[in-house]
Amino acid sequence: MRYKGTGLIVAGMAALLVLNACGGGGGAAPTPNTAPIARAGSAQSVSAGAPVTLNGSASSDADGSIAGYAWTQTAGTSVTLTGASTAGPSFVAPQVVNTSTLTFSLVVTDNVGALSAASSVTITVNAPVIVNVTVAGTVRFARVTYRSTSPFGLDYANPVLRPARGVAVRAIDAGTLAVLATGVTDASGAYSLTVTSNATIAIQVVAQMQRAGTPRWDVRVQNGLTGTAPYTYASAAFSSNVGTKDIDIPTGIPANGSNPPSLSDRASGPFAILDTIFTAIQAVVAVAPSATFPELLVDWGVQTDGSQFSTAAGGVQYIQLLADLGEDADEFDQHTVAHEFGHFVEHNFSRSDNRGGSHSLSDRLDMRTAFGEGFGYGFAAIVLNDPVVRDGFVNTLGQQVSGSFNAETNPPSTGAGAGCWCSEISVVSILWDLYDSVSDGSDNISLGFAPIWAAMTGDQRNTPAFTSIFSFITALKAAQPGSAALINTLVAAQNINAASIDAFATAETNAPFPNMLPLYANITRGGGPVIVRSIDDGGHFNKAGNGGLLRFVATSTGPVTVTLTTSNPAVNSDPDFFVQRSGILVALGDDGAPQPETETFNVTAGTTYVINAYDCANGCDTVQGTPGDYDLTVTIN
Amino acid sequence: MRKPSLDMRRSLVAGALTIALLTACDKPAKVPERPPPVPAPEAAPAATAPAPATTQPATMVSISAAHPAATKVNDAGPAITAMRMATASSKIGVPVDLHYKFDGDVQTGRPVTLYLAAVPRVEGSNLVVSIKEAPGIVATAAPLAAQKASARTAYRQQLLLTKREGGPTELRVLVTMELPEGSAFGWFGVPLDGVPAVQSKQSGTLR
Repeated sequence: MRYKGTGLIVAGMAALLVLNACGGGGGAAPTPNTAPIARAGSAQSVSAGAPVTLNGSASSDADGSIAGYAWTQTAGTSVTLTGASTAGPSFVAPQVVNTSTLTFSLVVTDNVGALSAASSVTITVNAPVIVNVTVAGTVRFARVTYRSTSPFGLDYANPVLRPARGVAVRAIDAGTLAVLATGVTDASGAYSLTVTSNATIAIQVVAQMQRAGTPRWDVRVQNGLTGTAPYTYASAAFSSNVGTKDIDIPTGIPANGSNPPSLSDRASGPFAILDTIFTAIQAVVAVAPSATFPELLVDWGVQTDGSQFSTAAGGVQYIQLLADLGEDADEFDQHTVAHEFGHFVEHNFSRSDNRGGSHSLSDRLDMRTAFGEGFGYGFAAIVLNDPVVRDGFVNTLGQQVSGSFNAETNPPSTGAGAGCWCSEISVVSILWDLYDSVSDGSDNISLGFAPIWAAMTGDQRNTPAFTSIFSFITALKAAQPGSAALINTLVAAQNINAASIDAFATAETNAPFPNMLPLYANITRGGGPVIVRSIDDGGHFNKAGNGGLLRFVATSTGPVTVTLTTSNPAVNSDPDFFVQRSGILVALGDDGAPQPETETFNVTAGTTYVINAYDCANGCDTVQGTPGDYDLTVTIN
Repeated sequence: MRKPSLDMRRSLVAGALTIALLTACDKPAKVPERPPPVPAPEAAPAATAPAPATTQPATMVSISAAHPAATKVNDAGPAITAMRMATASSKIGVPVDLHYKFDGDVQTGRPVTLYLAAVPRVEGSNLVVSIKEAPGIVATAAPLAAQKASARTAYRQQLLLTKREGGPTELRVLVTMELPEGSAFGWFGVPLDGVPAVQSKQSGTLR
């Protein structure tokens, strides 16, 4: 034991004398304990989140040893010390926004229980350095394809991953859901987003394709026409520091094709729809690089009762697609999706006088419907470069099956379903054969898509006649005079008089039912009544023969009055008509019973007008009365 | 300008005679109505279209090509013109009009006979009409099938149907048919609740 200074030595000796005088014990007096000394170590500077170890190992006791350590935090953001009674406790530096200081105090105990004075150490916690980092990867969606063997139904057990092209992606804060960055996948499904480092984020893939500038498009898939946002698929949360994040969007549909708990579980469906539309857009842009597609909404949900293209009040254009896995869902039926998109394209870039309504293979259709529906499937076959049109459904035994036809296979020349201007399959076949490079039978032409597009957006759009295969082929031949002979051969194979074709089918000699020719009757102002025939043999509304078509060339400018009566003897018989000028509706006579139906409107000299007259027992969307064959008498005064 | 010519009038007369002949031909030999068919066991179809395990010979009646309104039906079921038309799903479908008629109101727990008549608009083959099973509805009938389907001919089926408490508001019927151009199908809805006595209505303006 060492003594610390003379004063203490003197005092110690005096104490020993006193003890001796008192008769207490013999021998030397005890040496007083020296308190230990705590040393809390050097100050440290650490990063937020970093592990920190304190160091009290330099503490000492001059006359013994250190028997215990007691660390406590005396300042700063509270942390949890591990091993607070050891020489080297540890903790994790807290996350801080600004640089901050933590202070720790150490008191040691020596081997006789004496406590040291406290020793402090400061730990400076530095705020993280925020930098921008890139999160990139590839988005893919699961597409369900058809089995290659009968019955060729959709194979939900074996989906294939395809890149999600041109869709919106966004990085969101996984906690607050705030959008941190937005982007678009490229043609390979790749995306790249810039976000801050050290963030916990998720990637949302949005069922929306938008492109500004030229070309331009804006398509989204949602459930319902109003009030809902596009379908969105979100990844699990992850650190923004990972660099790469690939996202695969599953079908969410069991292998047997049964319904998952909710529609939102069917994650890849909206992206399959968009992928087909992306393909179609690219095909159009290839021939029309500056194409500007109007906004399109795709309504895909269980409330839809059919797949169709429509325009709603306010000009909103939308496609509805079936989503009923129990009967018929169309998200993976690419030709169905492309067909409806074809209607959208025809409506916006060309013109369609299609009456709409249900239509079927072999149906003898109104020429406008035959062309419009045929264009839809012809367009689908062309943009998908696949002539086999397939539409999957579920039969009443619960099996996945499909309906189909092949655009490359021409309809028969005679008999049921024979080629006709009234057949949508004839139109499909003509369009496909114009496009494809394979020669077969009457098909020795290969124009590709560009001339078809040019005819559709040129004369077909402005024809004074109703749009039909007649107006289209007339437009095509005018634009491709060098191919006229091959076009004639191709079209004639569908029992259509192509050599002398014009938009008004003046030379047409083929009709599916008696008393249908000529397809347009000429009428003049003051020229007396013209009788056209309404025939219900093919069915009602949009089937061939239900209405009479008339062609009127105004010889003077001013008002004219069209009067229509029907031979239908029913008390409430209801003849209706409408008048168009190059696709523009100029008069509508649909006042209902009793007849006659009369409308007065202004015409311009030298302008051609076309009139569609019909009896609502045959030609209205909703049948009124008893269908039959009736004479429609039209006069213009 | 087209006015009815002498030839046309002759055609009309000939047509009327044809109708009379067809009507006469359609008078069957007073065949008693079949009892409701027994449901067939399920089996996998051999081709794209769903084929029944056993097929029930379809009861047929021709409809006049010129004047369906004047057509009379055989004893197998109600007149086509007295039947309603089921609503088809609205996209390319099967060229068949599906007509239906109940012999009474559809009431919960009470059997009612449903008459179906599938009328192809065009000639085809392998016409199959089948009923989708659904909770809350009991329909006893095998699928109706016809190997050859003639245009404007009614292929009939009748079935005994009982709606349970909470059953569906619509009976779903699948019609498939093979055509020269390919295979076609269409889902139709037959309403099971009260519907006004009007003719068919397609589901909107569709294309």
